[in-house]
Amino acid sequence: MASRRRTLLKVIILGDSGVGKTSLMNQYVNKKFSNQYKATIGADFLTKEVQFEDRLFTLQIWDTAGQERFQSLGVAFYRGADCCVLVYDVNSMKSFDNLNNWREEFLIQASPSDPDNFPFVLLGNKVDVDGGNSRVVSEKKAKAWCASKGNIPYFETSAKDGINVEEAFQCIVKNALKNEPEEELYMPDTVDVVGGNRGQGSSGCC
Amino acid sequence: MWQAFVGVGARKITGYYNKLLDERTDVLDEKDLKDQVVNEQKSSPKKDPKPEKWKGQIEKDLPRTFPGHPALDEDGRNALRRLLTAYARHNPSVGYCQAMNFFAGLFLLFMPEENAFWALVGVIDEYFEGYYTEEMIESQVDQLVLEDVVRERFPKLAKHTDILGVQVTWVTGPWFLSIFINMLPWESVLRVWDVILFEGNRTMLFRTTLALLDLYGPALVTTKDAGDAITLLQSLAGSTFDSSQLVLTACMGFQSVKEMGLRELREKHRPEIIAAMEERSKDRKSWKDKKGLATKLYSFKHDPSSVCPQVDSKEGADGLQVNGDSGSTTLGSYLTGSALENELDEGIDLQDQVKWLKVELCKLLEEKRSAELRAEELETALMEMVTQDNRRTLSAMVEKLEAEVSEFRETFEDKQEQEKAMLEILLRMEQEQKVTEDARIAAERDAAEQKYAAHLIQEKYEAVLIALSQMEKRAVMAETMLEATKQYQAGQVKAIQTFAPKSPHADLGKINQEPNQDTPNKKVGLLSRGLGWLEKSKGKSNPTETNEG
Repeated sequence: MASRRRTLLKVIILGDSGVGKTSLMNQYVNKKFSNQYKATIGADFLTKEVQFEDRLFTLQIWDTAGQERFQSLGVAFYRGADCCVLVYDVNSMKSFDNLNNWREEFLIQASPSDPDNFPFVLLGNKVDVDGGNSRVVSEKKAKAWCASKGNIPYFETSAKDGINVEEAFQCIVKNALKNEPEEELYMPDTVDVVGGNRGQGSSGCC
Repeated sequence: MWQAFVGVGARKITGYYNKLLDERTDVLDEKDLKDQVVNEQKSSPKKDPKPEKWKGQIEKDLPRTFPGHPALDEDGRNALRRLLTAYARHNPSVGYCQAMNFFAGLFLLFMPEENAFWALVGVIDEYFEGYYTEEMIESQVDQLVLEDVVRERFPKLAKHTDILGVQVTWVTGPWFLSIFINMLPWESVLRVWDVILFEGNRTMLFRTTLALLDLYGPALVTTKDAGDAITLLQSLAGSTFDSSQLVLTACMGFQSVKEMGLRELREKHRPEIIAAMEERSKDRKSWKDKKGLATKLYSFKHDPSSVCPQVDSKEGADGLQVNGDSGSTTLGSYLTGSALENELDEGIDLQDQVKWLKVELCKLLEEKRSAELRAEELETALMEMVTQDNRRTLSAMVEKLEAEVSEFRETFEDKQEQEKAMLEILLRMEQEQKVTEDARIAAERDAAEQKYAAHLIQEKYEAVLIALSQMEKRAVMAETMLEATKQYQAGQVKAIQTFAPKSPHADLGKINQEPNQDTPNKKVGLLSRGLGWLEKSKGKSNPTETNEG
């Protein structure tokens, strides 16, 4: 039943401008890092085939523009997301403080059925910068925030060095699947019911 | 060229650009002054929070504007920074929006800094008015308009994307916002910009997008899921190296997409967007209310002076009225509340600001008036150009058609000649046929005649045969008569011998000699007669043979 449709997972990456959303996505999908990324305008999009627990998924990753005003354009593709990745720069307190806004904005605009349990993943990026000396947000602080929002999984990453990127996205896939079981149980049920009805109908005719 | 299109000359207000740049230092000075005053009342004063905010974003984007381009070295980046800061000051309702860094960078590649500023002013304030403001209303409106147009022009594609659950606007949104920079190959970008700046409106965005969909629609229709469709569309757009074909398709193929029509559609959709905006800010508020004090406290945690949020929002509303902003900025002012409150507490400063804003408003109005005039000029120019252009293309088409017609004519003549030749040949054939027919008839007649002749000859031949047999009979009779005569003569000789035995030898000899001489003579005569007849019949049969032959 599950193999009937190709499983698509939609992931949205949110966070302040310049925290490394595009870099993380490219590091994960293309295994490449460039110092010369352009500012993302509106949104960008990449897909990747992933294997998780012997099943194949197509991961659709939406990379968004960090500037606040672009949020008004986000409505269009926030909907239907399976997981939301929040990114901040461990060297920027402001990007950490804004996480609340990003999370709320997402919940308002995507309006998921169960906002309290919607899967988020937090990534503290750029841990490589200056050997960690320029760091202003401690791991403890980040974890405390995650705990206050319903135990959001947290990863400290470096898109530049590829640290924790693969692990983080594995977790993202896992969390995106959290919503899945309900859907899957629901879907075959309806199919079965319809099929059963049809069977009865045809036997009655004969 | 671009400078002329945008009307840099007409817009330019000498010294304005430098004044804007100077203002920054003025502000810095003011801030310092105020710091001293404010220090008594408040903590962490920031005179103008918004430009500060823009500054951060601008700084972030400077190295992310055409990274690696040789023109954007240290000096280039400084120029870009000055340009963007000046614009943010010139139009605070837009301030700085990502994507503007690319436009400014593009202009800086082609013109001096101050002209680049005016070009940017022209593009953002006029052609893309309301596009890059805080709410980006026009940008959203345009995407709805585009969706309408796509549905109308490419029903099949629209149906397919509906099935996949893809909205074309996911991809086209970034295209529009960045005016195709980084989305298309450079040559194509520049050609699209040529048209946009020349026409002075956003129609070309629509035409180019429609042209791209026209080019790649068939490929898109074959995609099987949303990801493939989007990836394909993005990658195809990025590989549109044939800029001529693109621009041609856009301008000629979608000539009927007109600014007026788009304007009507925009009017239709604008209320939706504004309503949605209001809905969202309401949602946001209710969310905040729901979350209650905790969230509020979090937002204002770092600001010990957030005592009077009500007045704060009032101030926000005032600011909105002046700047022409709407709803959701209230949130912005919530967030920047601390700074605004500081201003509130400084009445004099506020008045100053109001004055400054009034001056700014007057300037803007003036600006707008000149811009409108310029727009009219450009529009008439455009109309002329368009008609000329139309005429040119029409005459080109007419020429082409004429050429085709003459070609057709030539081939037609050729064909006619061929036909004539064929006719002649046919006629000749017919004549020949007639001749042969005649010949045949003649031959038939001859044959009949000959048959008849042959028949006659046959008859004659039979008659001759009869005559011959009669002759033979006669010959037999003659022979019998000859014999009879011989017998008679012999009888007479006997009688003579018996009656006159004198010199029987001599007489006998004589008589013997005589009949001997006579009979051969008669015989010869008979024979010669027979031969003559034979010859005669031969002579007759010969002509029949020849005739028959």
